[in-house]
Amino acid sequence: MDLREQTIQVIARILGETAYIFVEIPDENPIPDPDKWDAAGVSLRFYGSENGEMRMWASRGFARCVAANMLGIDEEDETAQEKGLDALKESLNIILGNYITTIYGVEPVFDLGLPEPLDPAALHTDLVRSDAILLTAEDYPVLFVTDHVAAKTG
Amino acid sequence: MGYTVMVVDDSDTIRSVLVRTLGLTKLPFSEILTASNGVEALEKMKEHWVDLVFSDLHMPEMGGIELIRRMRELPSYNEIPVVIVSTEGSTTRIDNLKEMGVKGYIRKPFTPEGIRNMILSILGTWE
Repeated sequence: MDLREQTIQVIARILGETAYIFVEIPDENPIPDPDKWDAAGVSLRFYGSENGEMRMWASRGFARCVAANMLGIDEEDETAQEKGLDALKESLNIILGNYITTIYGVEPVFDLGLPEPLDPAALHTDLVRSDAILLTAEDYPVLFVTDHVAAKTG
Repeated sequence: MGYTVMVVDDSDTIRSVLVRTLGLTKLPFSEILTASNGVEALEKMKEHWVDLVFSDLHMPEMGGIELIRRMRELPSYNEIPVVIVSTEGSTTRIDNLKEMGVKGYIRKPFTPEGIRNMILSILGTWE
């Protein structure tokens, strides 16, 4: 299984276990128009034998759905709206933590930063990345991009 | 009557999810306190007796490791068991935490069964 498949598997498992959301890989090429997509983005850095950052972009409707499912409340509940971004941050946190042990194994120590909201302008760059992972979940597009940088030694 | 538990996590969502999960364990709780970082947790401990702390590792202001260090320095708190609830899965990290006196480690995503078993293994059945 290559890195892309492993990453998709981790994303699907975590969104399923934490928010009861099923993830699909779209057959067609439905790259959203960045100027029309109401996406919120979050990023999280990791530091260890390699450093890097994972970024997640998702519609605000998807964020609301994740928050509602995690909290066991109705999607129309105001709290689901309020906690959407926080739910996205926490989803990314759990995805990245599990991604790291999937890719690097359970022995190395990696430190994770704190999830941060992304500048919407960064979406344009991430959408055209050839290694971007675009998935569909609850009929919403969800985008993941991961950067790896070799850590400096000595 | 029941256990008094404190949940320390900077994510509002995870605090709510963990409080909800504690309810699903069907264990008796007299109080479930919450704090968004180590500083807030220590402040609340001044006013409340706590049987067990569930803490995240990475939080602004004061994270889980610093919280454990501070608790171990204070005679009133050094016996309170701490369980780390984190997304990280490094066995080396978990071993290091156990050397610091952490009583247990639960990896996110967690389940009511995992939380229940952890509480029972540390505090025993409420009588």
